[in-house]
Amino acid sequence: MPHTTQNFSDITDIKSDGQLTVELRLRTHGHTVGIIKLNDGLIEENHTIRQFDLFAPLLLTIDLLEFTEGSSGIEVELFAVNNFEILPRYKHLASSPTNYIDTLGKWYLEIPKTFYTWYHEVSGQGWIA
Amino acid sequence: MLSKSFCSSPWYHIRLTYNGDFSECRWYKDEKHKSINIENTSMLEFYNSDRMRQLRSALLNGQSPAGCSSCYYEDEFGKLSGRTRQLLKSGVQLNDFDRTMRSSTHYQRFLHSHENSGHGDYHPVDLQIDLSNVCNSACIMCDPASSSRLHTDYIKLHKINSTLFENPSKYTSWTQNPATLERVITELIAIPNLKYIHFLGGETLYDEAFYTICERLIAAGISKNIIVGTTTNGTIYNNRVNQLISQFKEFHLGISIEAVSSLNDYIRYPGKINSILSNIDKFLALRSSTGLYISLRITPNIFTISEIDQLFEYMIEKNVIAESCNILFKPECLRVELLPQDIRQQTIDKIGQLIVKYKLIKSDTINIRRSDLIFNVIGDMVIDYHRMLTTYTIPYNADILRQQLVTFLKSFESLRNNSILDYAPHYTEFLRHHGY
Repeated sequence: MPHTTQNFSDITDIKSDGQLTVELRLRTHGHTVGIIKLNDGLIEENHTIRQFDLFAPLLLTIDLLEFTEGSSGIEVELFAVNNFEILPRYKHLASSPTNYIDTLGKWYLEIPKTFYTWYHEVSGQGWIA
Repeated sequence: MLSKSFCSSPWYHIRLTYNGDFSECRWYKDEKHKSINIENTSMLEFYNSDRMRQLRSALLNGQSPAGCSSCYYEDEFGKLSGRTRQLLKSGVQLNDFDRTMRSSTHYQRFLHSHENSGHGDYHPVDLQIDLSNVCNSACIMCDPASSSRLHTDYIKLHKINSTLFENPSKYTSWTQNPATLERVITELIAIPNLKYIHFLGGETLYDEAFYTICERLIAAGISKNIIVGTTTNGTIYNNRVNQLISQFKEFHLGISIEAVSSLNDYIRYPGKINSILSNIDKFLALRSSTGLYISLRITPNIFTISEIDQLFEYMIEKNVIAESCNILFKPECLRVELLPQDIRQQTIDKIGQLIVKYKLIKSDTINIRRSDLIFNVIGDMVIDYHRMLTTYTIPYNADILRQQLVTFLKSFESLRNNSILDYAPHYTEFLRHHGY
């Protein structure tokens, strides 16, 4: 049965784990070696879908160890949370403002607080009372 | 479902109405309540009054309070209701209700009220303050409690037709009592983290109390944290308001207008559209140098809806949105749904042409005050009106209401020595058919 919220008690009963669905789609250009992590989990596929607690902070890191200057890199084609596109749309919020990583060292995008609160702010949804 | 009825507004917002009575919300309407007045109750006391606690409990229980019906009515039409916008101030979005509700920064406040019979552990930071009915306009769809000039008209209109026009009750506003005004100002200054005040008239820019309150907030050194909003009829532009604008964190000015043609002069009597458009240009010129945010305020009726395409073109040209605060349903005889079929179809066609011409799409933008999304907001509005005109149902008593409309207009015209046919000649056949 799908969950139907009739009153506030139903909201308090909502199971809070597994309520952030994160989709990550990567494309490797040329020869690269890197370590890609979503929170503590290692990412090894080009297309990954993972579940997180509704309140979990999120941290996507790409540590580029080897690449060929000018011809290779790792592109984050899509980083979406509950179908909200975060990358490439908000790439200006990453440690360096890009979704194409072609510099040695660590690049990251952090969502340091409850996702929906963060998204409210970055997507310009106005002041919170 | 809770998402169909819940609103977070009572956790952070209250309204002080013209006569000093409190109301639960700027959109809330329930005349059966026993009044609670500023003369003997402070804003913070009202915030946790039985009425506010009952409202919070009802909303948490998934009920749809009758006083909230205007928002539910707008929801039905797919319009951006006050409820939707108030929820956004709690970070709650209707299209992802459960998760955003659970993630809301106000969640603990909802939980506190849930466990404490509706008690609120916060305070109002978003206020609507209705100052008085002092107004230099007498718009035909307004009510005497909102316009001193219309109040005078209604005394005469009641003698012409006592069924259609109520005898307006004697009017006193809370701002007329200097001691009360002083007490309200003192309380406003003391509210921690006060974020937004919306002032309503009458014509606010014509009301000394508006300037008094704003200037005291500035003197208290808190104005830079506060967003001020107000609505004007566009007939007034002066240096005093110009000086206020830059002293607040943001200044949101809604300018009421119903048409960009002389039809506006008939509806928003006795304003003159050329002068109003000129004032709008002056306000628009201030946008880039101050925190001034401008929107037009429209309440389409049976006549102005037929020219709404022109208003939409004007909005696109001037890069300014309109907020349609209400779907007009009082006076009932002015309702859009009474449109004759031929004009309804022509209006649908004209709006359809605009959608094609400007490639307008539905973006469902909720935070309508983002300057980079003005075109999206206009697009949403145009498409909403197109859909509303296409889908609305004609009221079962339309013929009676149309005849009432003719009586209503002729009563006003007997005072004003004008005729709707000079302003909306395309309604001649329709009006004649109903006895004009």
